[in-house]
Amino acid sequence: MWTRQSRDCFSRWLVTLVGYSVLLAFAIIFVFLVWQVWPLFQPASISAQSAAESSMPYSYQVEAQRRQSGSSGLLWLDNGLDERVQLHADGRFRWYQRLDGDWQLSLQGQLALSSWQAAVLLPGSRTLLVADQEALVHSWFRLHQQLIDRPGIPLHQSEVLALIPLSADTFFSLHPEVLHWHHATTGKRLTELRLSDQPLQQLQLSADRQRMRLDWGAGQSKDYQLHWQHPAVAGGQLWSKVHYEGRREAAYVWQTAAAADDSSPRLSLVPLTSGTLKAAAYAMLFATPLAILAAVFTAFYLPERWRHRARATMEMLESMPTVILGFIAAFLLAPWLEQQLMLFFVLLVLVPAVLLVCSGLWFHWRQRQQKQAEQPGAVLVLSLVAGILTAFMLAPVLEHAWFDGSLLLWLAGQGIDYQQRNALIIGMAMGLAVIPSIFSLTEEVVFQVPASLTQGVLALGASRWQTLSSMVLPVAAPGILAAILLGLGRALGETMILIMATGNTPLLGFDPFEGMRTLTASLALEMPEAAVGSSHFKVLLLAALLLLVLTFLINTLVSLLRLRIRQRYQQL
Amino acid sequence: MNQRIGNMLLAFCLGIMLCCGTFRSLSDDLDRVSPGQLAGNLTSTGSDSLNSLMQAWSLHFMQQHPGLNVQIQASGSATAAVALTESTANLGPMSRPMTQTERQHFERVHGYPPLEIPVALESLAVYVHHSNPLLSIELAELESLFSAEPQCQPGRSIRRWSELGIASPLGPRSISLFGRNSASGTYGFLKQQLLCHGDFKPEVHELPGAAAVIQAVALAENGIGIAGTRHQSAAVKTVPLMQDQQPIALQRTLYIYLNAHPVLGPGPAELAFMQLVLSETGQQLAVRHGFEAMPLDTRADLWQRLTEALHVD
Repeated sequence: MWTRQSRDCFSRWLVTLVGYSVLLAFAIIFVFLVWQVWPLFQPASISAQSAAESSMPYSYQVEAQRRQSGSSGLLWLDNGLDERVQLHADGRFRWYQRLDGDWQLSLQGQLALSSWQAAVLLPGSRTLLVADQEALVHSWFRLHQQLIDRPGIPLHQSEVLALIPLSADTFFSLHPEVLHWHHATTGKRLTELRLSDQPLQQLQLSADRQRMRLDWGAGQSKDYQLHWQHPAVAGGQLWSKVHYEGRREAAYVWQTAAAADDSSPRLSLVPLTSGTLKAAAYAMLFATPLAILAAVFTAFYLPERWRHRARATMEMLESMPTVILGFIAAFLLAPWLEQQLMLFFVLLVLVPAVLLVCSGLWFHWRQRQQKQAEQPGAVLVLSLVAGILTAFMLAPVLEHAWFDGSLLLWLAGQGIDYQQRNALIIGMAMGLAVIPSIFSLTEEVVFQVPASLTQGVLALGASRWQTLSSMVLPVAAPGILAAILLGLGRALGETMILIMATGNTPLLGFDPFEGMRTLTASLALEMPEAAVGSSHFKVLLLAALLLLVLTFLINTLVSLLRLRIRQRYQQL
Repeated sequence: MNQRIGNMLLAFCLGIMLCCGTFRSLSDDLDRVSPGQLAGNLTSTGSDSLNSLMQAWSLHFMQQHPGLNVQIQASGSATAAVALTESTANLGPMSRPMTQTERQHFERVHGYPPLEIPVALESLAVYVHHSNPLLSIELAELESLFSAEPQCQPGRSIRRWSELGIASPLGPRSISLFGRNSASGTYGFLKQQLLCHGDFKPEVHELPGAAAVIQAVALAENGIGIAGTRHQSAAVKTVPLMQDQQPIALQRTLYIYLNAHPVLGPGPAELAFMQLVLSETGQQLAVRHGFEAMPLDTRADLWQRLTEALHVD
């Protein structure tokens, strides 16, 4: 009954099933992320709806608005909270602010235009929008006793019947025969609605601004549904500079405000992406030379017994939890480096220099004695110790001589801010986490270069170094590249070290003395706070998708390179 | 003479007894513990600032009700709103009031608003490294330090210690700013009260806990951080906060949110927990953990509201 054949068949099916289900799970994760993120890129839309009975609380008389804003003098604008503006037909204005229950004049003057068609103060904000005669909506906001100019919002039609506020950062512009929907902060047009050529009498909005009713008079009206979950993101906030209210200039800002309702979240992925790349770059800068040199040495120079020990140690290092590295980096390494910055730089320069000089002298001396130059193990260790000791002695002297006793103060004098948690710390801590993965693959690839080749080259009289540099390394190059990419993938996806040691400051640029905030750290820190389904939540999922795609591409490349090197070894 | 003193004493005693009489029913009600047949699990998700106090309350609570098990997760106030909405927690401790958006999310799912109960008060303090000679700091200066663009009062951004009147060697150095991560109530509270809804500087280090802020300031000579007053340590010192030469406090209320049906009220276990929290014992625990107690009449009002919700049916 339970024959060998049926057992084989059953287990084969089981293995296939499990394999496919793992693949399927990955596909499902990918599809889920895409499906969640997709609505971010759908601009707002207006769809017709069957008329609901309920009346709507916000009603705008188009004719009345027109008359008001015409030549007849002045217009009162209100943000529904604590700001009021009195605007004259010639562009003079008086800006009032409510302080402790009283309306106080905070600002008056003349706008930079002589006539205008329509104006509005956005609800709950300090932004004044004024449509001029040339199809442009000017945008100003009050900052203390100053009016800050923001980029204008171009309209598609010069005749404006009314500007109708919808939220703190979106508004309608009503033209004859068409209604446009704009995002005030980014200036993008979200969508449009074609209207009949009959003059519109009234526009009504529901309290939650999800429904709209257009009234042409004589009992002719139509209801619409407004869809706008993510207007800010649709307006292009993610990858471009935005001039937010309250700031003096446009900037890439990542600042999510779960607690403060009134300010819209600032969701620019630019600082986070730059932070991820910065962290990975510094880690690779630290890890790549060390890991590759160590791997080549282990594979090519070390005797078999020692090679195994080195590999085992590296594998143990690889399994070290990164949270420990993060902890050490944040609470031991970072304060130490701040105290001993000079020593760090002196070590960085002096130790390799002393090593090189000592081994050079050693060989020179051996050659003069006409003896064969052996592996100078003891010399290396001795010169390493000598280098470190010299650095310790030299650092205070140099710091005193060159930098008036304190490198930190000298840097501050040069306008360079040294932050305790910075890219150097991350480079070292994350570099340590990345070294094992680069090391293992490089070591494997170099070791697997066919012995027949190396033996042959050595037999032809080449030295070990010549063999290595002119034969082994070129043959193994694709494998080493794969190892570097593997390390890069690891560095891009690393989270814990970054959360603990970077300070999570969303800064732009590659300054080595400043921290960064990465995509992964933001995901881990902010996912629990984000309201499910909000723009913030979806942008975080977008960040996850970006990371997934990036690491997927890198890992695919690694696999392809490994395949290639395997084929190359088989051919040789 | 003696008789007069005796009369006064008598009147005094009578007065005290009268006062006690009026309050007795309320405080008795709050302090009466019914070691009932409560059993099951209570899950709390939310504020990190409230974490130590929640632990203390739950320990005390589990002693009173051995059948009940309280689990506490502390990863930021914003998580409380999400967890209550998704019904993965019974108690939502938060160090700031829920925002309109969070309330709306909750209402859309459950059909009624969450129940907000203020449970303690906390003062925030400004910390610097113990070697820092700074004596006091103005509120406006603090805003200029942390704000990308000061909104409350006009001013320019402060970047170096010399701008706060500190001489060399610290003077020329830049200021390292330490604050909480954006999920925390401290972050939201500071954003509203200190920055007048402005943006934080991107240079502000966002650390995942109040203890981490203190630790970071303790290790950085040029650091300044804001966290609750109860986290004292020898390596840091607090700097008095001033406004127009008058000392002021950044004080905020801490809340516990409940998912309470408007007719049925909160569940019996939640109610028992809130009874402990609002009782004298609970408030003494709060004081012992470095918070400040809520006034008695506020607590009595709250308790009445909580129990009224029960009696409506």
